[in-house]
Amino acid sequence: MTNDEGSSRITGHASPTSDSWLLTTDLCIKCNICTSVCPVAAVTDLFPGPKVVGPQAQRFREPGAISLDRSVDYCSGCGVCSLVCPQGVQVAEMNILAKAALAERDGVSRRNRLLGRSEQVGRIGSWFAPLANFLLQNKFLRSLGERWFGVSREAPFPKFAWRSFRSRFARSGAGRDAAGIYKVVYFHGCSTNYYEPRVGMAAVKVLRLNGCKVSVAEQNCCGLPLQSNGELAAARAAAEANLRKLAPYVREGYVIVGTSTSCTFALKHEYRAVLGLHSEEAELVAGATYDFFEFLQKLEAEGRWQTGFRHAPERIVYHAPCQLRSHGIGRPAADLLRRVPGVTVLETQADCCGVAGTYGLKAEKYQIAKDVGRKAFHEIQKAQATRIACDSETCRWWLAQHTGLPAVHPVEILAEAYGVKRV
Amino acid sequence: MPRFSTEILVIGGGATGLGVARDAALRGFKTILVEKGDLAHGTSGRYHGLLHSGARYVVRDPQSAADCYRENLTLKKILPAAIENTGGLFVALPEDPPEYVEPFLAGCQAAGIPAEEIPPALALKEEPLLNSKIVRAFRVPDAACDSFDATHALERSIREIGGEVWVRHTIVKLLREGMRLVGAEVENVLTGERVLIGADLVINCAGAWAGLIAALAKCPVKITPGKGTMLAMNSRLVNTVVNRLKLASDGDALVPIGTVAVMGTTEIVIDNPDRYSIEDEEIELLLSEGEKLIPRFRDFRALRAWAGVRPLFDLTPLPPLLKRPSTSLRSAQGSASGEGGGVARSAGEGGEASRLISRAHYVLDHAERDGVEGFISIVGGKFTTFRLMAEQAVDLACRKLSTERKCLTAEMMVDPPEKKFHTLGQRWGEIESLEKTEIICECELVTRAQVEQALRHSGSWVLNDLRRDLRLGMGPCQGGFCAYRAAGLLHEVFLTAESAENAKQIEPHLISALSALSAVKAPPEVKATNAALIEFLQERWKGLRPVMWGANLRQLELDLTIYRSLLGADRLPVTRPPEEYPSEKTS
Amino acid sequence: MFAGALAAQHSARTLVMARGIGGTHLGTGTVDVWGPHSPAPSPDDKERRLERGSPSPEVELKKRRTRKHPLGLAGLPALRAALAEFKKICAAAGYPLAGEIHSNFFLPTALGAVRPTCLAPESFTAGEVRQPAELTLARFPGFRDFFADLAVSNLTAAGYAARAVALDLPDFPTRRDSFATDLARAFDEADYRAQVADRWRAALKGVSRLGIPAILGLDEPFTAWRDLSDRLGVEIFEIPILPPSVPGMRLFNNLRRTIEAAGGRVTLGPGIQGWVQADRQVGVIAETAGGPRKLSARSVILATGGFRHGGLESPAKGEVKESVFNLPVTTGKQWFAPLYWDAQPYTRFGVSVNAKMQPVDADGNVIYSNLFAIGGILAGADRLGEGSREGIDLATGWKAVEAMTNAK
Repeated sequence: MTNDEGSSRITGHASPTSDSWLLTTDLCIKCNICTSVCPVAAVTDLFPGPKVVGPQAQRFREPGAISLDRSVDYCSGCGVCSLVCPQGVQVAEMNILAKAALAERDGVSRRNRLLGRSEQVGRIGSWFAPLANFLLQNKFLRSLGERWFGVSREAPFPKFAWRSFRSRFARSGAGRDAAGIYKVVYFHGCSTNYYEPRVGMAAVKVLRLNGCKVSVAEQNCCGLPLQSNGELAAARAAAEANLRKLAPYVREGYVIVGTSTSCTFALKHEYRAVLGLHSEEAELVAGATYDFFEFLQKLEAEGRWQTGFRHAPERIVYHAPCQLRSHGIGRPAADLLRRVPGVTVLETQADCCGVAGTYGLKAEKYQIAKDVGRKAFHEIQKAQATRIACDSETCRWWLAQHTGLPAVHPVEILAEAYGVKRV
Repeated sequence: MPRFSTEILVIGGGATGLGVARDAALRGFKTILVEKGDLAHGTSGRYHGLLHSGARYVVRDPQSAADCYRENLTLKKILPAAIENTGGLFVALPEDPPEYVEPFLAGCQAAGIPAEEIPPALALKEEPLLNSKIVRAFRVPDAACDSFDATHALERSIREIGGEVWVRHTIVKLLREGMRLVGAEVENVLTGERVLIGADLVINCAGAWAGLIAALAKCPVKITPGKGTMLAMNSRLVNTVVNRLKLASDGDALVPIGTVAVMGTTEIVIDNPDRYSIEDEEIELLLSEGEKLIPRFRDFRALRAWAGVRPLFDLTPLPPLLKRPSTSLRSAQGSASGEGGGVARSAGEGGEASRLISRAHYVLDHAERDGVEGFISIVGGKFTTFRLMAEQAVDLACRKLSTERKCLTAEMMVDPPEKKFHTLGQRWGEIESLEKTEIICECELVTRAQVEQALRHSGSWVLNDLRRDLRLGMGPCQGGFCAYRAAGLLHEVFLTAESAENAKQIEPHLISALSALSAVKAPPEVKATNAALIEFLQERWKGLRPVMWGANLRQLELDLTIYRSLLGADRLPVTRPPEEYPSEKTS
Repeated sequence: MFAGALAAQHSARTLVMARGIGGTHLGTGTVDVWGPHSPAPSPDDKERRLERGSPSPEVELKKRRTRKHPLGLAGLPALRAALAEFKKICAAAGYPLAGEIHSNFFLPTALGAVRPTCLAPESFTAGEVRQPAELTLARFPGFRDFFADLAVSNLTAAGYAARAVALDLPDFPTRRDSFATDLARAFDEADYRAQVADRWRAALKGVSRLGIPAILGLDEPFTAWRDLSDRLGVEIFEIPILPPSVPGMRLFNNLRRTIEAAGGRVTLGPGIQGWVQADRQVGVIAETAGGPRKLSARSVILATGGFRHGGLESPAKGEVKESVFNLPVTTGKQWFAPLYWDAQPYTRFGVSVNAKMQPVDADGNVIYSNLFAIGGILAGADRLGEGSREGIDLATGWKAVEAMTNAK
């Protein structure tokens, strides 16, 4: 192709000009429904809305040419646009790829490289957990971090656990399960492993209580933070590594269950729809992956769900993370928690709490993220609950910081109701 | 009747006419161009968008091929802002005749056209949607040219040089003194006002209508209208012009131009260049040829269909044609291309009396031909060679006016010197750099400022003019949102013409048009606006109906929701009298 | 959404699932039932009887019954009950609708035409063109979706008293593209309304009724409307404009809250396919992120609409299919009319149902015993041309839920 600019092409499988993308661009009838629900466009003038930067701008993007985009950078990737599009346009996916193209053009900043590598950060941080935690909470260092790195000084960071989930699991009797009705690979994800092992322990206990044989197969970061920060090649490498590790289990009849709605969403959807991986392994793993409560609902439908709960009166406010909505499975955690005697579950209506993975941590986006989340914060405060339940870790940390209410994963509440002692 | 005088009167505001007017003005002739509609509303505005490298004609018509290539380079030099330098490919599928390759390459070499063979795998890498069964591929310097941009740039240039361009002026009669043409009587289509233009020489560049104009001077010129239908695909399926490597035939070229890709074309002889329809068979043919190039072609959204009328000039008097041969005019035995450049051939060897008419261009001196002085016609031809046609016409004009003046159009840029090739992302980049603006047509990124500029200063009168000027309404929603907004802006401009202070800012023709319309019963600005809106959407419908399925049907539903239900456009009081409101018979 | 609300309120475990949001966000936010029952009454009509332009429900329904029109099939009691129930839902949500089954409002459009509608939000009704007071329409400089001068010109040409006024909005525009939703969210804030009122007051002296684009609040529209009207001392009426439709969003949100408050769920996102779960009983397959998941249901109500959102699909010229259950589609020979403004024949294509809203085959036999079809997917009506869209949605939804609950 003769192009005078001669700049780099978008390489890789899923690019905005492969025919699946062109086909979804074709579907857009410009109705503006996506724009009307976009939580970011609602609060900032810097983002013109998903239709404008998505299917509309896509018609002006040419592979191999410099794309003159700027505003698509403000898309948070929450995915609400794809959910509401009646034509089935994959607006969010299109925007993610456009952002990656921007990154390829401009280079990925040091900050984004760091934020994308949650596994490496987690591993190193947890070796020096006490020191790392001190550093992260230190106000002066955080303000330097904002100036040099662009990570907002106010953004909430969790504490590194001094012993990872995997090592705790190993000591808890890994591999000693009896055959069980289901063989489950528990996909823990980076945050459970390095920050909140208690979530993983609760999950494993609940699974075992429900008669499952649990394994924590070899696994690595799902790659979603890399994808969100524009490093598609690295994201693909992480994805392919996971598929290699997990597919054999699926072939042996295991299902994959995860407590992080972002990780499970990556396995179910993003690997194929955004990263363009369509191998047999990718299809196998996607079909066998379940969100934790989705899996419990499956057990319930089969009459195998253990419901011997203690009476555990509590008023809980549940926030459905935007990535859970993208699963398209409803809100199984809220539905099932209501079955615990004494538990009242109020649900927020807000579509997005604002943090959207690593988006709200970035200095230039922190305020936008906060504005997006205002509705959720308000609803949570009005609910007068004792705790927030939310299946996504970054949402939990963000909501806890901005509402002052403790936030836990719904599985922790369930574990308590089963009488499991908190680890 | 008011009287104007000029040296050269050019009839026809397509590429040819504008090229002639510019060439003449640059050579110092006082020049007036008249066009009965809006610029490029004839064939120039409806063509495939292809700036030929000439490789298409090398086997059948080497002279035409060489001309095309030279003009390709020249236009790239003088008119870059209207051109996307996409490059081109000629690809052979397994079913295409392998014996075509050698004469193709030899012809390219002879005409000086660089044709570089590349491995099919490379072609597929660059154009991943192409049929993976391609056996051979050649790179050529085809490009895509937006004829609206080109014609508007030419018009601007003409005005700058001191020539005049009168749109919406139709020829009522050509004035004769004895056996000499001395000018024309023209009528302003909007106001009905008539003026006389006296000219030393009249040049007929009316394209598909050239025969009708020549008839006014009692010079018989047979122009056969050859309709060619094209499909605009909603997505830019390829970024390079893709041609089939075989003798030219229907549906053998896919041209990326702006945000769409145009699949073309057919060739069917018709009677009347102003009256034709698009046949289902043509659409089906384009879809199935498209499928050969791009296997998933039918899954992609065909945005709209339209037809252009080629002005085929019949050099020798021959028996009448069959109206619709069962195959196209380009029969299986091989024939001249559909797009231009070819040699007259008589009925072919097998079966049908299909007839081929030359696609080359001809400059006719009516003094020699018909004994009428002061009149020349330039007929036939194609877009790519318009400058050359103009040069030859004005050369003849010089001879007839007994003066020797050098043609400057090959060197002088039409665009300002800093202009570069148009790129796809340009428009989006411009928008991204704006702080505040109102985008009126979101599909094609047309801003309020641009619309107002066009309405106030560039002679855009109705929404269809805005479409030609700015591409308003040419995107996926086909006017769904922007037609209302543009109508609102049109109305605003009309309104301001009423007030004395603003009148100074409005081009004279707008004011005169309004005063004529105010003779009508309803307030003129209302009637004109509503009529413009109705006409615009009806014209969009003409091109949508032949491809009304899939996503287009969904789009139609949305657009009908907006115009019928939300806006009630079918119930406007001044376009339909109250008694004609939808009633029981529609429910 | 209405059917879902009814079902949930009847204590059925209700799931409303859709690939995306439907027509509410693209419409007028009103309930159209009767369409132009008679020509819009001319302002020259000396008597200006408000009854002119009012349909007789009994007569109208009778006409439609013979033509297998969805309203005729649903029947007058269902329509009556549906409209009453919808008014109740909206009133409970703090967004009351005005109007009765036997009358039409005639309201101005953003183009200055006049459109009839049966139920309209209170914030629309002061725009009734048959009222003699002059209509003052506001233009917001910098807002591209409402051209008040054009609307005024058309209204005036039709004989109504109207004029335009330019009203500035504070801090506007702040961005490149402004959508209706941007303004609506601003008007939800009381501070903003106070600023607006201060700015507009002087320009509105002597104005009796003020028409503005329908952007007066998204979350608390009734409060916003009353507040601004009071502050300005004029009757404000909203005029629906280009999508996204803020008044339509209000209705959607009301229905969603109603469904969820009654214990139902609304899940958006997955594509939907059908499956036969038992003899002549269907369930639904949701195309979730991980893959298709089968859902069984006691009853399924198909409310996927016509062609616009894919309930009916046309994969190639002249072909049509119902996209979830592959139900037979009643069609006609001609699809399209040569004039854009004529009634388009394809709009009447759709699924044929019996009086219980059950899809039937060519012989009138019920195809699946637990399946009902309502709204835009039904055959026999040109909803946009007739002006009957929401009326059909509500009445058929009511009928289906009634049949479904009785079938238990």
